[in-house]
Amino acid sequence: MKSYLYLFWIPLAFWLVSFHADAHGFAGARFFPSTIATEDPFVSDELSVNVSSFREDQNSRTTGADLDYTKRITRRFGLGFGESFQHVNPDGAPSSSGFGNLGLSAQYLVLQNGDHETLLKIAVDGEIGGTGNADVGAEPTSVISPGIFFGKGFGDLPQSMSWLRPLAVTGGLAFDMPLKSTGFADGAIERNPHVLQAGLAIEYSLPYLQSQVRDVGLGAPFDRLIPLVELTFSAPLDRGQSGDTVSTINPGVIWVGDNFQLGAEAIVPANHRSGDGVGVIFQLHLFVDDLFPRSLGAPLFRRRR
Amino acid sequence: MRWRAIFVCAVLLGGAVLLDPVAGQAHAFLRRAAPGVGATVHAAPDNLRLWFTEQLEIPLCRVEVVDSDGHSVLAGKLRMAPHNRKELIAPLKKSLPAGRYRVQWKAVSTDRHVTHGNFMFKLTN
Repeated sequence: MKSYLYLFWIPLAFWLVSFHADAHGFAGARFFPSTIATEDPFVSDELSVNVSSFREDQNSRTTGADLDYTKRITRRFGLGFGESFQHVNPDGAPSSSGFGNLGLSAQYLVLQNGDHETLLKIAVDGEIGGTGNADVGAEPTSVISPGIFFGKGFGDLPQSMSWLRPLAVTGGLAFDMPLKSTGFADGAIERNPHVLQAGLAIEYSLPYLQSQVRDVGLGAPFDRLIPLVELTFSAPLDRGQSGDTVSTINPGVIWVGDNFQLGAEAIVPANHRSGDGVGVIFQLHLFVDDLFPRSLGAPLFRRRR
Repeated sequence: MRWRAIFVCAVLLGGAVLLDPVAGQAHAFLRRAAPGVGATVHAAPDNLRLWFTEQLEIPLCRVEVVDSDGHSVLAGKLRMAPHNRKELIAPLKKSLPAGRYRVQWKAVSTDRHVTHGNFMFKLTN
């Protein structure tokens, strides 16, 4: 019984140390939504659930749910974990289900410039090999991925280009480094390459248009929509797999509410290695810092203001 | 093991809900303004009015309105609309001349989240 007292004290401690709430995804007047397929350029208290379905090749459909949670330790530094559950359904063969490998992350917001609507974050992600089910593709080898991520809004464009001011781009680069060069999978030796991961999201914020540029009279729900296109790119660099690039183009839309956002995107393969046909992905993203600004959603350590 | 971790997360979330006195509030986004965002108006307004999506902490909010030379055209203290904690009113100088005006605002919602914004409006005679 005593060991469970922390379940009471931890939320209480969060409440005691918090006085003012910080904003997630803001740089000046710009609100950056949490993108679906690419990493965000900010650190916030957030819980995200993505559900997706796509055909990896002509013979198999994968349906899965990913859960990611990030907790700020200080205003700029956060720790996170991610987990996925996948169902792989090969045509004409038994299907399999299971958890993917456990993911961990450490993130630090390097730059937050309101005047130029700019964010810069560095992060190290880790995937713990062997913690997931190999039947759904979880690798036995752990992978560490340092990366850098940016966000830039164009609100500082001159008045003559005001219609472009709602535009923003976010993106980043990460480098997957497997801790072992080879491993065993399905009884065979498998080589683990270094992989360059890149992502880019181009967004046009209708809330920004309405509140910063021109009130064009949009009503709900259009006044909170952010149409976007995300590009993902994954390129193995060595160990016999260089050139096996996988890339997708994801057009979609995000609706931003007071405490959560909803998103939907199509997953369009950019080449034949990236999938067969168009997939879909849906997002439910909770702004934990808005939902619980003085407890679970506040940084653990911060200066009083 | 994983289901136990999920259970612990659920209990933490429940604890946060029970202990958080302002749970469920949010950032204050600008819903509407008068004069409107990017609008052209033909009569000098007496006030600038801003409507937000959340209730505000008026002592922490700021509004500035400047002309094209950067001079303030505010005529008094910022105040909240009667019976509406989501609306700010900034009195403007009498008989503003024609020109472009820039509004800069900072809003602090009752859960202490801070948002910023700015926009222009044009006054013609």
